Amino acid sequence: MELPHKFESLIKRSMPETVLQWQPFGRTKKKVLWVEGRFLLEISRVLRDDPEHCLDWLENLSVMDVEGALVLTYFLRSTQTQSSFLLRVSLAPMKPEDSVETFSIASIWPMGRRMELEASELFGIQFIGNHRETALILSEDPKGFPQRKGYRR
Amino acid sequence: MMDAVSECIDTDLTSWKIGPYHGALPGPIQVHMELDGEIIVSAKVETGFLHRGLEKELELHSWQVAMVYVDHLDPEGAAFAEQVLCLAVEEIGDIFVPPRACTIRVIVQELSRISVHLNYMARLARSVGADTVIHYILRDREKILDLFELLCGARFSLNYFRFGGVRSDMTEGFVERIFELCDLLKVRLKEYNDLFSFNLAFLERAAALGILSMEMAFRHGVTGPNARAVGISFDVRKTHPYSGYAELDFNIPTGGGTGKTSGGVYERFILRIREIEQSVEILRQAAEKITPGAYLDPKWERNPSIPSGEAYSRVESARGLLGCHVVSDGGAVPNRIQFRPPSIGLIEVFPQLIGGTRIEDLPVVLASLDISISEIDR
Repeated sequence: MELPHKFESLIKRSMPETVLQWQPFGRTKKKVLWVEGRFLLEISRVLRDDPEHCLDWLENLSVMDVEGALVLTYFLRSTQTQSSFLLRVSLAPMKPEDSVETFSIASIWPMGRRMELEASELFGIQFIGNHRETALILSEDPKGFPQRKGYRR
Repeated sequence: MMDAVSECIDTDLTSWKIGPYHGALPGPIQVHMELDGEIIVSAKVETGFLHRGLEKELELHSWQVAMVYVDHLDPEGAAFAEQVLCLAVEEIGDIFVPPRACTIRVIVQELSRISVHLNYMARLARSVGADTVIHYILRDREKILDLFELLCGARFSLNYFRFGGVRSDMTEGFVERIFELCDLLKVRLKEYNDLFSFNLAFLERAAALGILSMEMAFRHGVTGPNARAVGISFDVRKTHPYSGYAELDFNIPTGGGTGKTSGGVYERFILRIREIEQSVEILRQAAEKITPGAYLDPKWERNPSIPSGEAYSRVESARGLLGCHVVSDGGAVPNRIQFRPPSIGLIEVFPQLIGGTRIEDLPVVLASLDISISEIDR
C-alpha cells in the first residue's frame, strides 16, 4: 500500500521548507521525496513519529553514483499499516576522490546501522553519529571507494 | 540447577577468536570473543572474507550476464536472487511474464526454500551431534537437487530465470515427480520429528538457548523465519504477492508464545519444519494449476534492451526479505543493482544472542540463525 498524497500533505503541513522535489519512482504510483541533507534527521523523525503512518522500519538504504553525485534512497515502511515511502538525499563530493558527510539515521531506524556502514566503506560517505571502527567488507584499504563509478583497481 | 554464570571461577577474562575458516561457522567470518572460563562474555564478528564485489561486477556486464551472476548472491537459494532481479527489471521494462512461467518460478522457489530449510536442519543437527538424522535429511534434499537437474541441468547455481519467463520449459515427468516429492516429504517430516525434533536432549538444550526477542528482531531488521519465530508475521508472499502467490492458499506459520523459551533455537527450528509443510502445500497447488502456454517471451531472450528507469522489488527468500533496487540508464549494462539481503540483520543480532552462553553453544546458535555469509559479503 503506497500513500504518497497523504505524506505530501503531512510534509507540506509540518515542514514545507525541506522539500526539494517530489519525483515519481519508476513506473509505480509511488513518489520519492527529495530533501536537502541538512533536513534529513528532522524529516526522518516526522515520518517515524507521525501517528497515522508510523514509518517505523527502514527496509533498505540504497546508494548510487549519478554523474559524480551520491544519491541515497531510504526505503521506509510501516510495520503497522504496511505502507511504504521513499526518501532521497544527494551528496556531492568537492573532488571525485573526496568522501562526503551526512547525518546518520541509525538513531531513528537502528536497523540502518549496518547499511550505513556498508555504504560508508563502498561509497566514502561519513555518517555523522555512526562511526565505523573496522572494515566490514573490504579486507584491506582499497585506496578509493570501489562502488563509485570512477573507481579503478 | 546451578546456572552458567554462577559456576564461573573468578579469573581474568581471556580473548579468543575463531575463524575465518572453522567447522562451527556458517561461512568465512571471524568471531572475537571475551571468555570467562567457558562463558562467552562478549563477542564481535568480523566479516568481509567472502567479498567478491558482486554489485560492482553487475554494473560492468550486460543484463544477461547479471542474470547469471546474481546466483552467487546466495548460491544455496539462487532462485530467490534470480526472481528478485527479474521482478525489478520486468517492472522497468514493462515485460510481460506468461502465467506458465510464473507458476514454474513459484515451484522452483518453493523447492529452493525446502532445500535451504533441509540443509538448515542438517547443520543444526550436526551442531548438536545428532548425526543419524543428517543422513536422512540430506538424502531427501538430494531429491530436490535431482529435480533441479531434471528441470534445467544444474543442481545448484540454477541460471534458470530470464527476464520475461524462464530459460526452458518443464521437462517430461517433472510435475509427476513434484507430486511424488510432496507425498514423500509428508512422511519424512514425521520421521525427522521422531528422530530429532522431539528428542528430549535436543529439546532441553535448544529451548532456552539464543533467545531472540521481538524487540531485538525489530531493532535489527530481522525478517523471515527467525522473525516469524518470535511472532512477527511479515512475509512478502502475503504482504506484497508476486509471481502468482496471491492465487495460492497457504498460511504463514508464526511462533512467539509468551513463555521464557520463546524465540530460542528450538522455536526457530520448529518454525522451519512448519514452513516446509506450507511449501509442500504451495508446491502441490502450483503443480495442479500449471497451464499450457509460453514459458518465455522470445523477444527478451537475446539482447534485451532495458529502458531507462528504476524499480525496487522484494521477495521472500528462505532467509527473509530480499530486496533489490535496480537502476537502468537505457544502456547495455545495468547502472546500479543493489541488494538488501535478509542476513544483514542476523549478523548484527548474533553477538547479542551468544553473550552469556557457553562456548559449546556458539555453533548451535549460529546454525539456528541460518546466516548466509555469501549474501552479507557479496
